[in-house]
Amino acid sequence: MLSIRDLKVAFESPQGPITPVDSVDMDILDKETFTIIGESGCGKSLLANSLLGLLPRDAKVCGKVHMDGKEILSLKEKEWRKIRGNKIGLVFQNPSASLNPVFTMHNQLYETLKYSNKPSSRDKMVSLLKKTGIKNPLRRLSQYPHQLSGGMKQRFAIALGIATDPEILIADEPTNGLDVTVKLKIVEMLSKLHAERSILLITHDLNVASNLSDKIAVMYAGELVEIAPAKSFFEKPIHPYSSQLLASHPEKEMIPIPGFTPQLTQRPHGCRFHPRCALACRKCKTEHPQLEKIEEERYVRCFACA
Amino acid sequence: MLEVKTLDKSYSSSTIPFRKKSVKVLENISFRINKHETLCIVGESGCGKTTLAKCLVSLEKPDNGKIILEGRDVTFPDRKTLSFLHTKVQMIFQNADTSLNPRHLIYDSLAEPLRLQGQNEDKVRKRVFQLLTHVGLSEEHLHRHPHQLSGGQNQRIAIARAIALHPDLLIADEITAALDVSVQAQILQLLKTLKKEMDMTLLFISHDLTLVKRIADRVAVMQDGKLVEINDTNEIFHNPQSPYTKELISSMARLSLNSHTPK
Amino acid sequence: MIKGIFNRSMLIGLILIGAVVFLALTAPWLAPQDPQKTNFDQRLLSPSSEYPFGTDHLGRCILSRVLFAARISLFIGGSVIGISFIAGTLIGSISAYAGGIVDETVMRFVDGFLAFPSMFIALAIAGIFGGNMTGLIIALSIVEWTAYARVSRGSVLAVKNMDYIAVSRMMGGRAPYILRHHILPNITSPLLVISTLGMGNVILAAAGLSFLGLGVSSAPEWGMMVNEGRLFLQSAPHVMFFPGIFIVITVLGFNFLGDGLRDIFDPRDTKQRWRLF
Repeated sequence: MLSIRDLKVAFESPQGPITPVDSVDMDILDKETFTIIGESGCGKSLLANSLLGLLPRDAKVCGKVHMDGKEILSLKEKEWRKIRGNKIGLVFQNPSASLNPVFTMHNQLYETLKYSNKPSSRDKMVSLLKKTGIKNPLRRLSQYPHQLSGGMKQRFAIALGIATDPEILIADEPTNGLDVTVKLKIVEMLSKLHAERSILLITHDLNVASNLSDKIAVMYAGELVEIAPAKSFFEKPIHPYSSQLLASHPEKEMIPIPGFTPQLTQRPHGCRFHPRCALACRKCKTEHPQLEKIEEERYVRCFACA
Repeated sequence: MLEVKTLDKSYSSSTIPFRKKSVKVLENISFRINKHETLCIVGESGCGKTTLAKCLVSLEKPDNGKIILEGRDVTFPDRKTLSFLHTKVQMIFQNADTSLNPRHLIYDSLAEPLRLQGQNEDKVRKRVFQLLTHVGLSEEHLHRHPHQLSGGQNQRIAIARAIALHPDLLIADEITAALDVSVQAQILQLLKTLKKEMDMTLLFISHDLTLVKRIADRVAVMQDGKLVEINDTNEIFHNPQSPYTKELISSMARLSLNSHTPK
Repeated sequence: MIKGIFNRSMLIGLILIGAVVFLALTAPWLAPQDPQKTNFDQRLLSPSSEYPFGTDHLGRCILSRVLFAARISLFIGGSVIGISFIAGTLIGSISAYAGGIVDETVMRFVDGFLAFPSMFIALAIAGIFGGNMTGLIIALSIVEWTAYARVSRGSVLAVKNMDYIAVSRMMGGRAPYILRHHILPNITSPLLVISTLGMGNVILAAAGLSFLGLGVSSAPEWGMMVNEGRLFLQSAPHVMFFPGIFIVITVLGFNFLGDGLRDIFDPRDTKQRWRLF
C-alpha cells in the first residue's frame, strides 16, 4: 500500500552535497509490519520524516512515493496536511521531549483529533488510551506529561499516533530508553495493533525488531543493503553487514564489527561496507552493488552474495 | 577488595523546612567486590544503582554505613584519603557527550587527570599518546572537539581518561546504553582487554540482562534502593531466588531474538 | 570554533561600532578645531565647509565635540561593562557553584539591588557625586552588575551538574580549578551577548544622565550636548541633531552586534543539525 522508489534526500554542506538517504526502494504491504533496522547515522529517521513531508526546508527530496496509488512526495503543504497525521500516523521518538509540557494529555489528544476532523469526545479518548494499555485513562487525561512515567508517555505517544486511525503508522524508535519490563509491555501492545494497519517500525534494537516484524530492511550509510522476511532474516542473514551486526549482539557471539560507520562526507567508493567487510574482494572496492533479488522476497546489495 | 556495609541514603524532595518528604534512594546496601572480578549491578531506572556508584567514588555522601577500600575506610574521606581514593577507583559515565567538556580539545580532556596530578607537560604528552593508542584511536582525534567524534569514539576517550591513573577498580555506569549494538560490542571488547592488561576489577552497571549474562562473574540485583539478590552469574540466571529477579529474567527471555510475540 | 560563521546582524554591528571606535581613536587628529574653544562671534552657525557640523551656542565646533565625546562615551561604556562583568560574574559564579545557603543569601542580596528602580539609583548616586565621570561610572556599574550575576549564575547552575564536572572532581579537581577550566569557558556565550547589548544600554543611560546634568559636565558628552541644544531646537536644530544621531548609531551598532552574537550562540553549531539522523 506504500511504495517507495528511488527516494533520495540531499543537503548542501560546507563540504559539498551529502545524501543521508540514497536511492531507497521498498514496498510496505497492507497490514504488514515493516521494520527498518540501522545504526545511528544511517539515515533511517530522515527516511521516516520524508514520508511525512517533515524535512527541514533546505532538504532536497527526489524520488517517488505512492500511497494507495497516489503520489505523495510532490504534494503541496496544504495537501500534505490531509495525509499527515490522518492517513499516515507518527509515533515520534523520545516522547519526553516531544510532548508539550504545558498542555494536559487531554488537550494534546484533542488537538490531534480536532485537526483531522475526527470525533474528539472524551469517550473516544478513553477508549484510545485503554487500547494502548493506559490504566485510569480518565485520570491520566487531566495530567501533564511530567506526571507520567516514561512508559506511559510512550503509550500516550502511540495513542496520539493511532488516534486518527491511520492506514499506516510510523513508529520511530518507540522503545528507546525504556527499561526491559516496560519495553516488553510496549512491544506486546504494538503487536496487538499489528492486525489493524500497516506499521513502519524504525529501530536499532534488534530484539524489538525480531519480535514485531513481518519484514526487515537493513539500512547502512543511507542505503538499504538487505530486505527479507523477518523469520528468515534472523535465522540466516545474508548481507555481511547484517550477519556481522547480528553476531555483535550479546545474545550471539558479541563479535564487534571492525572500524567505524562512515561519515556522510567520507563514504567509501564501491560498496560502502567494504572497508569493514570480511568478504570484500577487488570488485567491492571499485563498483557499487545494486539491490538484487536472490530468493523469493529476499534482496541483497552485495557482490559476494549475489 | 572493596566492601560496602549497610549503606543508606535519602534525598529530601523539598527545601521548605516543614514539608520535607524524604525518599530513600539506598537502603541497607551491603556487598563485597572481589579483586579482579567483574561484578554487574542490574536494575531498572530509579533503583539507585547510579547513586551507589557515586557514593563509591565519593561524588555523593551516604547517610550511614561504611565503604572500605583495601582495608581503608573511605566513606567520608578527608583530603588525604580522597587522594588515595582517586588513584584507586575511577568511574565512566553513560553519556560520553556530557562527560567530556564540549569546549575542550580531546587532548586536554585526556591530559586533565595527569595535569591534576602535577605531571609536567612532556610526561603528559607521552602518556596521552599512549592512552590514545591503547583505546584504538589515532592522533588526528586529539585535535578535535567531542561533537566532531561519534558516541563510540567519545566513550573510548572517556575510558582512556579513566585508566590514565591506573585505577584498581573501574566503575562503568551504563556506558553502552546509548550506543549501537555493534559499537557496544567494540567497547566491551576494549574493556575486556584493558581489564586483563591492567589487572583491574570491574564494577559494571547495566539494565541489559543479556549483556550482563555475557560478561559478569557475579551479579547483584537492585530494586527500589535495596539489594535484592547477589550471586554468581550462573546461579542468578538458572536459579533465581527473588521474584523480582525472576520477573527480569522472564522479560529478557520474552524479548529475546529467538522469540516471536504471537500475532 | 566560530570561524566563518558571521551573520548579517553581526556584520552591520561591527561596521557601525568599528566606525565609531575609529573616529574616537583618531579624534585628536581628525577634529578640525579644539572642542572646548569658544568663539562668541561664531555662535549657532549652520553646517558649512569650515564647520561641517556647525557650531553650538558658545561657538564651539560641533564636529570636534562630537568626535571627542565619542571617546568619553566609549570609555564610560567600557568601564561600566568591565566592572560589572568582573564583579557580577565572580559573584554569580561562586554563588551558584557553592550552592546551598551561600547561594540563597547572595541571591537575596542581588534581589535587593534589583528591587530599586535602576534609574533612580543611578540618579541618586550620580547626584551625590555631583556631575562628574567617576560618579557616573560608579552609578551605572552599581545598576549593571546584577545582570551579570544573574546570567552567570544561571549558566553555572546549568553546567554545574554536567558529568564532566563530576569527572574533574573525581580526578582531584577542586573548586577554583573547576571554575576556571571547566565552568568559565562554558558560560562565556551568554555573557558576551549581554555585554554587547549592555554597552548600548550604558551609553544611552550615560547620555541620559548627562542630559539631566548629572553626568559629565567638563568634557563634551553626547547627552550633555543634546541637552545644550534643547533650547535651540527651533532655530538651530543641528546642535541637537548631530550628537543625537551619534548616540543612535552607536547604540544600534552594539545592539546589532549583540543580536548577531546571540543568534550564533543560540541555536548551536550548524554541526548539530546533522544529528537529526
